Amino acid sequence: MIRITNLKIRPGEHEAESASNSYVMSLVGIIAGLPLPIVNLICTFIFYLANKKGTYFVRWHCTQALISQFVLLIVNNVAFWWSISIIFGSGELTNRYFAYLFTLIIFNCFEFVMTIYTAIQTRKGIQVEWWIYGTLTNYLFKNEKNIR
Amino acid sequence: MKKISVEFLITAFLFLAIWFGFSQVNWISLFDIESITSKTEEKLGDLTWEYLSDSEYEIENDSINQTIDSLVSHITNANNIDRDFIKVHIVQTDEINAFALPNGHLVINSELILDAKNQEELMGVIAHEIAHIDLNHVNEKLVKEIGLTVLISAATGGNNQIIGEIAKTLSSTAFDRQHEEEADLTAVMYLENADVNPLPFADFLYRLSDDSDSMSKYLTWISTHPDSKDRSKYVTKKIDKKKSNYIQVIDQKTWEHLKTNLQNIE
Repeated sequence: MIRITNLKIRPGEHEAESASNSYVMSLVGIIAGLPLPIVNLICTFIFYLANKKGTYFVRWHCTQALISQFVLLIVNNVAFWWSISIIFGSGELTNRYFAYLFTLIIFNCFEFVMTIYTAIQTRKGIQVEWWIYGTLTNYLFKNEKNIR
Repeated sequence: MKKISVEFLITAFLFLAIWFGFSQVNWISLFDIESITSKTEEKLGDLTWEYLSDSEYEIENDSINQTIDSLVSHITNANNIDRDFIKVHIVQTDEINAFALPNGHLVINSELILDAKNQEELMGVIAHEIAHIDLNHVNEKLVKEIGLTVLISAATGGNNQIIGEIAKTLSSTAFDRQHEEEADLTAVMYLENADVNPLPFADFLYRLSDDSDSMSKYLTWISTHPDSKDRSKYVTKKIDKKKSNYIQVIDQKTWEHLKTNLQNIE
């Protein structure tokens, strides 16, 4: 699920801090934004914009954090509107609904733990790449591969 | 790009597999949700009936109640429906209407009984309302139009304004077309199972759409049950034409006696 890779460059103290903060921002967003699943994405996106002109290491991690929050937004939104339809609309409480909620809890917890771990590792200047998100980020940064 | 696609597919598959796995557990019974909702329904039904009975006059005449009870019991017994769950209330009013409330409360207006040309017509309407109860249409309609949280708060807090809204929704607004059709067709099945001729029920529906002279009389029933002509057509289509061993649940004398008693009360 997580790969640790070596970069050609060694990120400086300030870079490592900024990169780590991109994950901290998404964590704060998740905690502050519950139950609205959009807040974490907005927080991470603002941080991404603020660091758009940063170094490779900072931009790379801001992008990975942003992608992870975007995926989270999609799956959490399904649960959010499903719940709204049950509370205010014609939706019914079904086994499938509860199953989705529990799957989502596992998914969110997993991502939460991974985010904390990545924030810690990135702070030490270690390049941590996630399953899918890391691969996708590398794809977006393919023109800057000479740094790796 | 291929790597991303593979990783995405594996993750999506894992997510769906976990979701599917969890779906195999019966969470509804594990969390006892059905009994929670049935308690809410019980409370809502009683509160709504209490609210209605404050403004309506409920007929409590042994002869009338027993006759209607025997018609209702005949339908429920023939269709394995818990008779004790259906609580019949006969209300004296000049509106032709019958409607179901939560927790099996079935309200029949006296004018409906007086207007019915025979017992089969009345039993058709009763069967239709029992079908709404049995098929859970009442609760579905309330959740859709009022919302689950409001209903739960009304049941626990006894908010009179919301209870009034529930009573109004159930007594004077229509179920959706699909629910009406389902209740009509189920009513035909109930009647046939009870060996009661369903054709007069179809006639009753046709009369609603055709009898423009007494349109105002039927206004409530029409507004709560639209497209009567169409309904009459599909009800007629559903009827088993080969079946002929129909019975009269009460004799003609009892039926006339019922009407005379009601007229005397009026």
